[in-house]
Amino acid sequence: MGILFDLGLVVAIIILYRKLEAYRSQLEAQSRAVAWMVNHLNGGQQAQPSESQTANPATTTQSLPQQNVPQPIHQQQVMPSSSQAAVVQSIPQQPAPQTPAAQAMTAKSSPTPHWAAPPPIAQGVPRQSPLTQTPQPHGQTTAPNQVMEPRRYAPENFIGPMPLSRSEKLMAAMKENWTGLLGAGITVLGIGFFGTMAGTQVGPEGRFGLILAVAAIFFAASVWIQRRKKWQIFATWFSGIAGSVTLFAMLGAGGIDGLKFIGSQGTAQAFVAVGILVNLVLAWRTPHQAAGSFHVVVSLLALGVAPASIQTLIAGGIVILFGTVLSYRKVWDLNLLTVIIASCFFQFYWRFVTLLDLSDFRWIGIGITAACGLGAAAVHYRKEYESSKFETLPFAVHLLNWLLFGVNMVSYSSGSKTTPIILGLAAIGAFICSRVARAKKVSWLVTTDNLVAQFLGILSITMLNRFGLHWTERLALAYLAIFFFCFLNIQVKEKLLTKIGVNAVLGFQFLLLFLVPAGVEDPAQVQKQCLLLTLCSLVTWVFAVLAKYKDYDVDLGWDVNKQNPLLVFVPFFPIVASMFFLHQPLTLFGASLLLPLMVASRRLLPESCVSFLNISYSFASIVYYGWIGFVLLVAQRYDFGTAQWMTLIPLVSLWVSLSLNSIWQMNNLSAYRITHYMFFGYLAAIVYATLVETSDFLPGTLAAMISALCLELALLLQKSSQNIQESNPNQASLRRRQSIYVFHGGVFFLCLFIARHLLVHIQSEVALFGWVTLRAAIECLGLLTLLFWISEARKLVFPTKKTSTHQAWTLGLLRESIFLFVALTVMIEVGATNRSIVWALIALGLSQMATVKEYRHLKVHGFVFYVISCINLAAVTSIYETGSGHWYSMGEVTGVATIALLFGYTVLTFKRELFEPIDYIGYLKGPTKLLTKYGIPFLLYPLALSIAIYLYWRFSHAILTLLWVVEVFIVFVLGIYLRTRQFVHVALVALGICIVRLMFFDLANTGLAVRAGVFVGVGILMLAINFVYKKYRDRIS
Amino acid sequence: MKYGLLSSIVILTLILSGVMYQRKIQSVLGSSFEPLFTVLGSAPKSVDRLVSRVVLRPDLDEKTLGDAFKMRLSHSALDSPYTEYLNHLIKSLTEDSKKPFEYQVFVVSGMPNAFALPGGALGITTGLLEILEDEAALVGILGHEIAHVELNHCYDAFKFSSLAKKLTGSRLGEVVDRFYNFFTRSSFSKTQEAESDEYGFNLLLKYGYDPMGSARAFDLLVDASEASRAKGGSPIRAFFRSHPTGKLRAKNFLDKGKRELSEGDQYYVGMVNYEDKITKFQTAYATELMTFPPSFGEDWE
Repeated sequence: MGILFDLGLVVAIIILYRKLEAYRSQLEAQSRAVAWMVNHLNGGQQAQPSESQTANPATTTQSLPQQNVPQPIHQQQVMPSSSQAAVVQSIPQQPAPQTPAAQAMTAKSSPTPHWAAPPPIAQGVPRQSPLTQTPQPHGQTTAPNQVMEPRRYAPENFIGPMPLSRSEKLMAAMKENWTGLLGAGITVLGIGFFGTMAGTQVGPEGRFGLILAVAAIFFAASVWIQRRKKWQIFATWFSGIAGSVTLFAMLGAGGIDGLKFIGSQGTAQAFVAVGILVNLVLAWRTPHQAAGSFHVVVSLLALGVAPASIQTLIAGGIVILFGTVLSYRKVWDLNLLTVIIASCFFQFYWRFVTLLDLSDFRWIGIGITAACGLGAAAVHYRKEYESSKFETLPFAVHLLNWLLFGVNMVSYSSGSKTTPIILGLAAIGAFICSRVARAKKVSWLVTTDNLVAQFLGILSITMLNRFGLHWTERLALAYLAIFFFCFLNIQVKEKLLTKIGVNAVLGFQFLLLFLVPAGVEDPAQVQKQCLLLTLCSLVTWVFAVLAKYKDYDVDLGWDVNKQNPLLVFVPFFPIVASMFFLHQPLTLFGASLLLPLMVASRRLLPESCVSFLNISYSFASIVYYGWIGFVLLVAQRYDFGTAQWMTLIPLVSLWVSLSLNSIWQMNNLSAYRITHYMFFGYLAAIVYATLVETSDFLPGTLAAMISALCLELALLLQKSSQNIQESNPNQASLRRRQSIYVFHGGVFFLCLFIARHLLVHIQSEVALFGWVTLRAAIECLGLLTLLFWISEARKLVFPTKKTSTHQAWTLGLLRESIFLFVALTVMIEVGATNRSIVWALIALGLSQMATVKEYRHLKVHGFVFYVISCINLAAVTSIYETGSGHWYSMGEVTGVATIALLFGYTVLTFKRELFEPIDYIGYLKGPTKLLTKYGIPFLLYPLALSIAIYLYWRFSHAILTLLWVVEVFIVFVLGIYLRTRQFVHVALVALGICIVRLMFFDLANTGLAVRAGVFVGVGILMLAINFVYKKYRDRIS
Repeated sequence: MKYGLLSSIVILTLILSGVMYQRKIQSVLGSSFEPLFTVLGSAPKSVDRLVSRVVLRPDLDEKTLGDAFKMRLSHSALDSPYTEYLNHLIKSLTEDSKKPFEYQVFVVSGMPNAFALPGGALGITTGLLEILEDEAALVGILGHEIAHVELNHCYDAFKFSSLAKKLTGSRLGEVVDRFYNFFTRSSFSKTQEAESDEYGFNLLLKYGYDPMGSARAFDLLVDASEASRAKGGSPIRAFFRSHPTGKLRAKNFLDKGKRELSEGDQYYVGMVNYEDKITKFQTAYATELMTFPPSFGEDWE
């Protein structure tokens, strides 16, 4: 009875509503007639349409008398001819294309954002109903370049002279679009019902047959469709579906619950093999590489799901090889890439699930890897690739193939002594390949294979531990190998490879110098290490002499001494070696103290010798080495207090070196730079080594302060350089350089602070004073430091374009890092339910700051925080329970507060029209454009969706409809207030959904009292919506 | 502005350094990725929450599931003198729960441990009951397990696991589930633990128990399992570790507990309650009500 009563009530409301609508339509018709008459009597002078109205052919009517009203030029240009308007009428849902010039003009004549409704007409000019506007005479238009105002978000403007009624439009839309979709939906539903029936009534064999029948239908459809050119892509995918469905059936017949009807493993494997065969045949037939890859991947997936055995591994290998062979038919690099990646995943997964011992399938795996890897590599030696032009995709595919080849080889041969031999052979093979590629003049292939050969060679050497080689010895061998490759590449004048090789040699020299001493665990090894270092030194020395006489071009690609960069470390090999022979800490410090003398001796040596030895570089390296000596030896032999002051010696030495450099105005800037970097590195090491035992929070905290001081020092140096620019330009230039190095030092300390913060500081809950935790205080310090950096770092002027780019990147990263830092701090310090409030507050704050021209870019960040807040509201605040009885941590309270703040953000954003396209924010240009195009027009929707989810999970489902309607009402009012038609329309659609829920859920599932309340509430809100619409519809018309 | 910022940085650093130097404050784990992974895990956890909620399994009702678990557990549970006491306590602790079922605690034999299952079935081992000494510590543990149920941690995991199996057949389902757990759940399992820790701590505060109860409980657990005392560790190990290190949790509970209390504050320990197996909600003993700071000085740490 209750339901009947409710239904009756609803029907009565609907009838009443329809009557009211009819009455309203009558009134509107009368008012239009009166308006037309007034307009006619006034000679059309008041009928001058606004810019946006003029630009909109949809708002003109043919049924009204034509008037010869003079138009401003831009208005005339944007007017369509009546015939064009008629064309527009006939396709009401399609916006007309725009020419660039017209777009520019439209943008110029439209001051409001393009997603918003046109602004109201200025006071004093009576607003005209769209129906009373006058059409333009034919002669005043400038067809064919007709332009219309963008209507991306308001397609309903494209109504003809006699506007369609809502129901007509709905019907038209149904006819145009929805019948097909509904038809497809009904068909799918039918298949679904059929499948359900089959699932319950037919046995596994029947299901197997049914699935195969579905596959056959898809295949037949693909064959049939293929005849039509336009539909060929569908044919490809239909065939793909047919293949995968067949494979699924075959796989299921042997092992998937509900489909399984085969008991014997052999038969099951045969079925899978048939399925795979079908897929491989389809892969061979298809002209599209995506489809070919799809079949191969599907086959591998099937083999992965099947119980892991040697047979599946071999079958997998065959499938991979087949997939590789597909790439031989055409230039199918994407297919090759997919097959390589799929192959790697397959083998990795197979290894993960198999119960077999590695020795059972080692050689099979190696064979598969060799066949597939070499097969894939050989693809690129075909004629199609013979080009000297660099090809990114083949290059990447080739490199990845070799990389995975190496990884798989290592994986299969782990634990075996043969690995280094196999990898060594592979390295030789790759090197020969590079020679072949060189003969064929495919330059990118030469580079790739050469690098691969080096990589495999080093990989092979690193595995020589299986032959008992100590890691320091392997490192020395790797150095010699790299050196050998570099030498060969210099010989054949491969510029890029030489550059890479020389850098690699330098890197390995560095590793040798610093790691080999650190790797001395046994005094008995010392002499062996010394011999190694001396040998490396000798080889390098011999090469250096050769290079000097043969005039080799050994360009590093960066501004280190270009003459003989390979020799940078050479002098240190014997020095380090001799130190090891002595093995005395005092010798190390003695060496440190002697180094300023070496710098001083610069004046005494011939110029060529100076550049050759690169004294300052040497000095810094040895001081660093001295520090290693300290760590290794002094700390073990003396108590910490004694060692502490000794650490200052190299620091002082470094400073002396810097001063001497500065005094003598050294031209060798790279040495000058390295010395600075070494100084900062050493300072960081000392701070860490001396303070970490007292408190491991100290190094990070001090790093923050040092970074700020470095920045300040850099600014002072730059200021000083400006002051002496005229009197002493050389000194000024040096100081400017120094300011950059100090700036880099500051960045280094800032990074150290952030690293320590992430690794150490955030784990503490220790209270500092009362409620204030140590962590919060350090976060505050971090925030201040980052703010200081952001505000001050941009004042530095960098001398060259290259360094300016670095500065721009550094500043950009700094700007982003502060947001990441803030986000991390919020995640640590704020409870889960309250986070959405904080995100919303940050979004609001940033949007407020973005009103200042200098900080306009913050609107992008504000939007990001807005979205995060929405997500947090939907995913966390809606369901999270804290267990606390406090009102301020209850999801109901925090959620409502968040919603209010987010609505505030939305309104402010629209009202201020913040989101004009911004093209001045370098790296934020792309995001800003995306934001302007897709983010802002749809700004309200993430929020609306989040609120809907929040309400769904946080409150009782009995009153959910009412709550949703409240949300709809707010969105509707916002749409009216912000003059944004799309919000109003979305609100109305959502209202429709709510009504459906009201009828089908609330009517049946809620108690009488709640139901009555919900119905009354919804009814009142609908009346309110109706009232608001009638009163303010002009704002969105 | 510029010098204001710089001087603030210098002054703040000097103050902090002074305090740190004087108090010799040390972190528990040294350099470790674990806290970072715990914080960052909240993002994938949020996604998991959404997915778990959206990918509904209407045939899976948590209450029904819980009843099945409870029946299963009742067969293997011991007839312990603690059972009635624990169930009295859990009833009082979950009186504000929004879940449509009643919680039930089972005592099982084994090493010190506790666990939660969907539907409000909780388990606690005899080993743990033996090492605990007061009701506040017990509430810390129970609060943590209640949180796993209230925050849907175990139900979501169960739902996903069974859904994967149902959708893709048993073998593939296992594979999917294994991969998902291996690569995804590791990223937020520590976050789940941290969320449950916070919930348990809030319960202690809500019912006036000693805020250091959780710290005591975890300290005892750490003592029972020496392995979790390991300091630092590789980032890979830190990522795949399902629970935060026990020592860090105990220390953080202690620090948070200290922060909650100011001089003169009272809190309930419940040693007698635990011994007599009568909950604070049944009988609150005046002798168990302590005033901060305790008269026995630093020993309370």
